[in-house]
Amino acid sequence: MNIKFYLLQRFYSAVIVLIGVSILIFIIARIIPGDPARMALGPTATQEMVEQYRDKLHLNDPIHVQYWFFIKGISEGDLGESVYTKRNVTTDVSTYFPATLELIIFASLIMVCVGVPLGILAGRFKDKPIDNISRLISLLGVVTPSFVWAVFLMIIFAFYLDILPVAGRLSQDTIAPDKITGLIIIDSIIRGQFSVTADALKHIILPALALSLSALGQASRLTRSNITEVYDKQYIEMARAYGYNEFKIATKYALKPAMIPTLTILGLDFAAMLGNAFLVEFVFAWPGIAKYGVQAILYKDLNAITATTMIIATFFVFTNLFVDLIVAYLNPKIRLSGIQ
Amino acid sequence: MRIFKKNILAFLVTSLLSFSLMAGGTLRLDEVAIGEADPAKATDFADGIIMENVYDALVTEPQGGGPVIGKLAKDWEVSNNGTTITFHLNENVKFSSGNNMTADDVVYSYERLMNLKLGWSYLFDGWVKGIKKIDSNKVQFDLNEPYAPFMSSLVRFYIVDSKTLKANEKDSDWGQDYLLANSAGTGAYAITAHDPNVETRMAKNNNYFLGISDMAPNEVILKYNLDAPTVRTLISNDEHDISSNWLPTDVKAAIADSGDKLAKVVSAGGWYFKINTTRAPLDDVNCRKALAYALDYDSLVGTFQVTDDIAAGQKARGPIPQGMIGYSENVPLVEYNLDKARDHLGKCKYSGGDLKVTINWIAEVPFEESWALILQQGAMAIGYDATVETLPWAVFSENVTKPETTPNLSIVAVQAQTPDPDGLIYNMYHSAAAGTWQSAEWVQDDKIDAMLNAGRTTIDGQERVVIYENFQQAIVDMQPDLFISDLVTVYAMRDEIKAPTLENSAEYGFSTMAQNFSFRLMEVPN
Repeated sequence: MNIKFYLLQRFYSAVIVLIGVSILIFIIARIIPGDPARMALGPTATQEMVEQYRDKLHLNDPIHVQYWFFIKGISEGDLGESVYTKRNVTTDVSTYFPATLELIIFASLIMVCVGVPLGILAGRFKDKPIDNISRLISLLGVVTPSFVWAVFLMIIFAFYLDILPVAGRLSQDTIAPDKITGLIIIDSIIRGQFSVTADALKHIILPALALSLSALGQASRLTRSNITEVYDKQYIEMARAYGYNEFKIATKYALKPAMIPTLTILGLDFAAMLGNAFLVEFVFAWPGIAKYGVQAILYKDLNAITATTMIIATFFVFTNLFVDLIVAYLNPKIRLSGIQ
Repeated sequence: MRIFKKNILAFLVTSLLSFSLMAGGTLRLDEVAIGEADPAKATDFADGIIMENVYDALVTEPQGGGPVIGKLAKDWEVSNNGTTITFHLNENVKFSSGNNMTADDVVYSYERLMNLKLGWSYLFDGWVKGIKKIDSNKVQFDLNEPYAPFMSSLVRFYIVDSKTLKANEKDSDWGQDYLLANSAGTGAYAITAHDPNVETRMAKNNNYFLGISDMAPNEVILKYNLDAPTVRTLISNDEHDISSNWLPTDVKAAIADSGDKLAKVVSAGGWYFKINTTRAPLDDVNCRKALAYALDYDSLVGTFQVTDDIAAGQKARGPIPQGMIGYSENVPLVEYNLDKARDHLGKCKYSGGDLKVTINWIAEVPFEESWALILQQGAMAIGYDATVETLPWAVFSENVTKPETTPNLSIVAVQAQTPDPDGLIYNMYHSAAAGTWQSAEWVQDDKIDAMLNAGRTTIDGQERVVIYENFQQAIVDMQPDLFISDLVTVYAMRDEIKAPTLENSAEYGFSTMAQNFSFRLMEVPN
């Protein structure tokens, strides 16, 4: 009963937040200087052509009427036409979003699978060489922007060593599997095209690593700090006194309480990658939604700006909701305090 | 018998090998997004590359320059008053669908262009009264009045396959939805996959009516928005063949250093410091002239140098670039001369604190900053209070819509839309075209308007040359721009690629935007 109420409450807040974001971004997008119709048609288009295009995009209507058309479109699954690609924004989003989603899922896997164990090791062996190495890696990850990592990794692994591909999701002669989810690695596995899977994996390593390093550093530092704190607790001493082995202590008694704050940050990092992926996508010619979103801003493509921002906002809200649920499961006190 | 079999086998292997060596490979190049695949919407450079290869027009520019020649039209007749032009179409031209190209397709293509009112439709809007089919291989255009740039404008009128588009129309959309991912042209290539923000793939049409070399690329991948380090790495790994012009100079130089090559193309256009002639203090011609003499052209030219041999610029005499009708060697090159600059400033009605100007450069084009700084240095040396500011393109293109918000000086490149000078200068200087980034000068001068109108309605070629030469001089006297350079583009290329239209553009190239990227004229080893 409690968990249902908690879920409803969080879902209700999420909807309110998304409506707020949609209004805000709808207005902000229209404040950005530049006439989208003129920018789409170029300087040589006659004023008549521009006006006709403005009418088509409803740009001559009052803003509340424009918003009505936008909401009506969303309810019908139509996000309007992109003045940048001249396609329906729904088509653009369904084309580019899976590419970014695949990238951030892979980057998050690296973040969790490398960052958390690194933090655990550092916490367990506090002030030992392994801790110092881990802290150095974490610090470098946190202070270096993703696009610097992207160029750095490209220079080493693609330019000098030439062992990993530099651009795109697949090699030029590899044919993508028929779309199921849009995530090439998953789709190729489902369809049994394992050579495509291998090619896609080779292509995703560098961009995912570049995107993950900053979050990886943060995850590692946070895990280390929480693990260190937990290892100072008396019940860990008690477990040791009972003669439990170190692996069991670490995984059963130390990790669960230490992971609660880390999980929240991991969730935020996962969602933030969607917005931060732009430069990494640009460097590795990754055809994702972040790159598309920035291009849309430069072209003042109102429908695309609104759609991209709404997707990022929705992703943020629901990732947070998901993380809160996990945290609530791990620590019922949080759930109860939320209801009160 | 065994020897015979061995010989046969050897012959087959050799034949296959030589065939594969002779057949063209895949050409990979990049450009700035987006790539528009619909000929009724295309206007930008990347769009032009697609159009030049996938579609054909009635006429085209000959290699090396000159008056237009027939392409889909084998010849034409012009009435005495120049208002009726009848085209005889080449027979046996087929679209990539296999359909024959006929007069119906020409009429449909024109109606489609003018109904959608996008892309190059403005070139014909108001000038063409109508188009009619005379017979299946003959079409007639009727003009409202003589329009000299008409034939040149036709290089931008691409013929589409009316049967295919009609069969794929959705809600009377003139086949727009179909052309989002497909092509319907007669060109040497046909689109096989298209994402306007990622890449366009084109395959060779071996039945192209003008013929196509075996060594021309079998497949072309045109990628959009590649980052400079990415292009550098791809070319070095033999995974990319031709860069865009927008690659930074030092990256081009690094590619040349590592054994690949650079191709320099002088295009019909230029780089300009556009002066807003309506705002003080630059509404006074002497204040503008002072800046023209205060600009250190030698330092400017130094910034164009890619390698010792190749510079991505050449000094401009005026608005009409070398090679275009109206270019005149008689117009003297302006030299850096601070004494002359001060003389002109002395004659200007503004002085002291009134001499405040802002020099804007476009945020998306970082190399413009150094040009802005060179001008700032010269301007301050003669007494201007000059500030350098950067503006994102979106803000700039909004600001130039009104004279009061247009910057004092802004750096912009303009390229001719057609091989005719009208395709370059009308949109920059005619009052009717004011309020765009191309016309940030706000010239609005009756004498200039009259010259541009005369250039359009005068049919005699020699008279037009005189009109445009006089125009060139009039603009230089008026100094609504500081002429930085004729438009020179430099492309980094893999050494194995042969592209005479890019590598020797003076002899084999075209001045029409993007036409030098005619893939059928290139050779790509397999």
